[in-house]
Amino acid sequence: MDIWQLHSQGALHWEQWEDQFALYQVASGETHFLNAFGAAILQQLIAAPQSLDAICAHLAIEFDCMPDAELCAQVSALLTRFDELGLIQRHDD
Amino acid sequence: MMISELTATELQARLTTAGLCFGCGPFRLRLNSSLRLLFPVLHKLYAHYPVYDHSGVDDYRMTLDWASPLRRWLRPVVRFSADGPAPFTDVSIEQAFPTLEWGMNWCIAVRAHHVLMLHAAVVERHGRVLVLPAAPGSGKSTLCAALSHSGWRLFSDEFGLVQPEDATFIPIPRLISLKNQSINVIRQFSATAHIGSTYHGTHKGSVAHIRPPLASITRMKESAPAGWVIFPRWQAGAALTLQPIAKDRAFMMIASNAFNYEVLGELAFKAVAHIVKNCEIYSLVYSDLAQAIHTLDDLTQ
Repeated sequence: MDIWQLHSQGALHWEQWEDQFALYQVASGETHFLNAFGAAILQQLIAAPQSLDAICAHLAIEFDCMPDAELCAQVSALLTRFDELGLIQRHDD
Repeated sequence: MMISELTATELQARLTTAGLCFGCGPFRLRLNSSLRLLFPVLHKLYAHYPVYDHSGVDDYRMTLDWASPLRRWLRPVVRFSADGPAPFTDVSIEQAFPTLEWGMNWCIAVRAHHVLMLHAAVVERHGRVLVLPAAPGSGKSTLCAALSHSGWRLFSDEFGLVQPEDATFIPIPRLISLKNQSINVIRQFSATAHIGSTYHGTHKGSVAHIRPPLASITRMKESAPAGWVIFPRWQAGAALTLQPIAKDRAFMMIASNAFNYEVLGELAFKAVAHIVKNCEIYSLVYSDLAQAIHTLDDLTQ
């Protein structure tokens, strides 16, 4: 099973305005803008490395929605995007 | 001592020997030139800047002189340089002064990376600054010139210098550069504005320069925090609108407006976040300058 984790712990700076977020990654010098959904995924991974299923289960509770295939597809797409941006990485459990 | 207190002979002697050393905001500049037509212009438009002695450490050393002394009679072109190769192509002698102004801006823009540099006009009143970030052609300098002659203290018409540690703004009251129609707009707006000659046919069209009001230079060491960020846009015939901008969008707009956000990295992120958190932020569309000033006065009471 794939486990997702941050590239570097403690190297992110956050700013929040209601449901919008700006994120500065010290390692890359990049600033990213996230909605609440994307921010929640990253904050889950800050708490601990997790699998796609575990992230979806947490998000379903937080956003009061079903942990169904549609949710998992959205989360999977965002994880892939965060991986491309160098924010997170995956490894085999 | 101010530059206006030098006699014409003393000014010329400095410019043609060790250089004229003077202060502008946090910077110490040294200028050498043998261009006689420049001397009276500097005497008038740089009148209020403090003269420094020659022994200090300069931030910028600039030279504006004949590109080729031997050919000055055949093809009178001049060259700006600053501690190295000339950054611009040579220009005709008629464009010497605007080239000097652009050259000074270039020096600051490419080297002053100890501060976050916004491409913005900045003015101050009651201890807080109004920041006007904008793209060229948006009417930023015109609005800044009008505010500077309506009770606001000029910080800059071009550079919003932000101290990264606490996000306060640092004055750099350089001459205000006006282009094309805005020259007559300001002539009509303020009888007290001291506007120099108009230079036609530059790569930006016709340009003229306003001498900063005396108080903005005598107080140029007094920094201030930001209170408002206004993104102005002049649009012919438009009814005035003042619309709040969401904080996340404002962050993007301010960060992308900075000359050196990427250079300063984490410091820049925190400084922009501080500004966004502590300021009221609006977009302003206007066509009537007096109405825009009135609106900004009301907003910032």
